[in-house]
Amino acid sequence: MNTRLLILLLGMACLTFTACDNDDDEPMMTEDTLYQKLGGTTMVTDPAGGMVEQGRLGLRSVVDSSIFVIAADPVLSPYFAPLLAEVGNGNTTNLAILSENLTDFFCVATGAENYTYDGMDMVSAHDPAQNPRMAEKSTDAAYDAFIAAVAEGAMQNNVPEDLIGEVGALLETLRADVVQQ
Amino acid sequence: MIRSPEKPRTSFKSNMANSSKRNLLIGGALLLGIIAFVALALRQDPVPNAQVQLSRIDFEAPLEKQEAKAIQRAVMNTAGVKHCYLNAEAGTLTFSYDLREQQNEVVLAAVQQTAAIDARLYQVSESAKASSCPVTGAGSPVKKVLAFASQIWPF
Repeated sequence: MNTRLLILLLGMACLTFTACDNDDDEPMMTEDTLYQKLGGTTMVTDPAGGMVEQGRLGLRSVVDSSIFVIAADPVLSPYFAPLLAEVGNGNTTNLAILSENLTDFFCVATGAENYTYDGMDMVSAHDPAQNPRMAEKSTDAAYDAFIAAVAEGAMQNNVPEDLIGEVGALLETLRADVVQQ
Repeated sequence: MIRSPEKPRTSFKSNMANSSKRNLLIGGALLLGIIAFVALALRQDPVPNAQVQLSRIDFEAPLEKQEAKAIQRAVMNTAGVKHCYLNAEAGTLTFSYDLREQQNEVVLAAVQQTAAIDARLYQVSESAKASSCPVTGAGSPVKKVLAFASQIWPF
């Protein structure tokens, strides 16, 4: 009786280990995230000081360039006017704040694991009823201009066209959250 | 013969005092630990380019290509200017400069010397200041707590 039990237990153990072994042998085929394609977690020197992940630095460069295009576009002025409001010397400018937070947002949206975005979610943020800072609802035209500005910012930083397309597709998935008309 | 019980080395009062001191020390150490933990948890990394201000100059009409190039050159040659972008079709120029090194009026003066058409600084109205891209995140509860905490502990 004991021998039978022992054989049964051994058999079960073999099955268990075999099953585990099969899982280990099969390589996990995962596609790189957009963040990884943009440089990922490789640490590089940050021109602003210290070290930074290459993916984040790339996204920040795109964001910074895009902000200039956005601020120069009269269609987007109503939404981004505070960017141009001057702050006193010693205070953090709205440009620096938006750059940091928009970069956080893009990092998380493109698959970065070491950064977080703690701003409002896109639906609440773009709803004047929930966000008093949102004076008016976004329009499709304004969102088109925003996507075009990000694309131009990416081009200024020599981001490959296929990746710009991926960024555009990513932003397109947010259109319904942002444009609430 | 009955032996009198040995006298305790320390009195009850003394024991209590020692115990209170020990508790006080442990409590103090715990409090310091909690403060250090909270300070570390709430510490915000410095914002890159925190002193870089964005400003815009509006032209009264769209710009020609050659004139646009000359204006961009003039702006970039102004000390303290980091970057500029000119939307010739809209007649707008955005530029960033270090607040510690430059003022936007100086950049405007450089533009006015170069441009043949009228140019003026874009002024943000009070009502426009109250609305912004929500990605600034300033309205989030976390940001509010961090802002409050950083006022208490300016680390």
